[in-house]
Amino acid sequence: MTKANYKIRATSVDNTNFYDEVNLSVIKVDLEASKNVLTLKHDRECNLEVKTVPVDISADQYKIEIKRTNSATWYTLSTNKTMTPWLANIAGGFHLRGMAKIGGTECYSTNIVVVNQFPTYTQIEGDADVRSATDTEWTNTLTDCTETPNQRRERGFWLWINTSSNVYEHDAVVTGDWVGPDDGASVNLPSRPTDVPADPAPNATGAGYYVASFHTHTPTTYRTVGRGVGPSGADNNADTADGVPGIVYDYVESPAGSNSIPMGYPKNSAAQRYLSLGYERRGTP
Amino acid sequence: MKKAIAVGIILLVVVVAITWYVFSPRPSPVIVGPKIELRQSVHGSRVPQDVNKQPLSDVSNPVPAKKSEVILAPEQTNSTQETNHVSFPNMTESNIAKNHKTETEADIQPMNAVSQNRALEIARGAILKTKYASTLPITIEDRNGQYRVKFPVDKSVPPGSRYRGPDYAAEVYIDKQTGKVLEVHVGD
Repeated sequence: MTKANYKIRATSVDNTNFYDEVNLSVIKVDLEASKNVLTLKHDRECNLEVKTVPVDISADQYKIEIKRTNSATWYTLSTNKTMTPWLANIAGGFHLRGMAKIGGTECYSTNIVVVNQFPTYTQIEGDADVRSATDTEWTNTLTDCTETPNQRRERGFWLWINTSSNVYEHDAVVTGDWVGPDDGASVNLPSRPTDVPADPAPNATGAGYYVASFHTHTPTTYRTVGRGVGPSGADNNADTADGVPGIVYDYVESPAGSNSIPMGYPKNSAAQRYLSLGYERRGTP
Repeated sequence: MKKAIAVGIILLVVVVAITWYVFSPRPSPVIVGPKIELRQSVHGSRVPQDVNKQPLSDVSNPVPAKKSEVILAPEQTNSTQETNHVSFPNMTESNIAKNHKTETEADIQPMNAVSQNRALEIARGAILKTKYASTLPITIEDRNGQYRVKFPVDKSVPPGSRYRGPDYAAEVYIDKQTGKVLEVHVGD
């Protein structure tokens, strides 16, 4: 917009010698966002700014608002002109808008769309806290596996993001039944727990979101049979049903290309985390 | 003179007797042994495609069958042999099924193929003491010249939980021809 001020003259149709004039200022309000797609924890910072045209106009008040795309209720994110940054702590698809109150009139921007998505398997698996927690349970799984008595068991838990503190946490460790050398091992995790709170307000400062399952597989060190490595079909099915990626801690195949490990495989052999699909990331609510 | 007449009669009788012996019909010999039943090979693709194009009612020009199976006495080994008996053309599988015995899976296995029951025995031996859910069915898949014998695992879980574990207790791959165990997989 190049001209913001106008003079409007209205001439009488009865007597063309008479006219009235009024000065008109056209003001435009925009909300600018530095990004439209964000990821909880890993890419959550977004700069927001309410901009007016003309830029030097004096506003009595600013406001930045948010609502879910499937809702009509607006929530206030800020009463400042800018948010640098706004932190994407609530997952979902949102509309954002800016408001500038000028001369007693609230002028709103058009809505912009922003999506706050859950992290991917790669982001979750690569997190230092997640690695530490899963390494610990792998170590415990190796410790659980003994020759006398000849037993072993799987371990697992649910991983969640605390978006208030912006860290990954996990629920209590679940252990599978103790099994002998002639049994397959398994663990029954609960279905994906409900988020806390289940439906947070768009402008809430944080929530707890369950984003991945985790469990270990067991050694063959004291078994007389080898086995395949990585997630089973049942693992994949469970994570598909829960709508999340799963992390499975298991040995690296040996020999290469076999997709398995032999019987009597040394406990401390190389191991890794596998993606159990599921999904690459939990779907955006 | 009387003597000559008597000799002539005797000669005539001898000639008649020889003629009767030579030209009279004789009974067939009796064959003792196992009954051999020829069964027409008419199942599915064993009927040649060009034969199928002839009308069902056209039996005036029967086509020799390529091959038939022979069902031998129980104590004998099942085998196949070439024969020249005829089959009626253009019999569809559904037509034939009404009037003829249908071949079973065991019938059409190649000679010396390991039966599914035998494969199961071999698989049981191969998994050693690996435990499986004995109340659930063991499945045997026949594909690509191999049997895959899968021993099930119990995947039942308490309400509100999801099973994360092996898909099977064990599965054994067996060469269908030789019965050799190719691979043994144990779930975990």
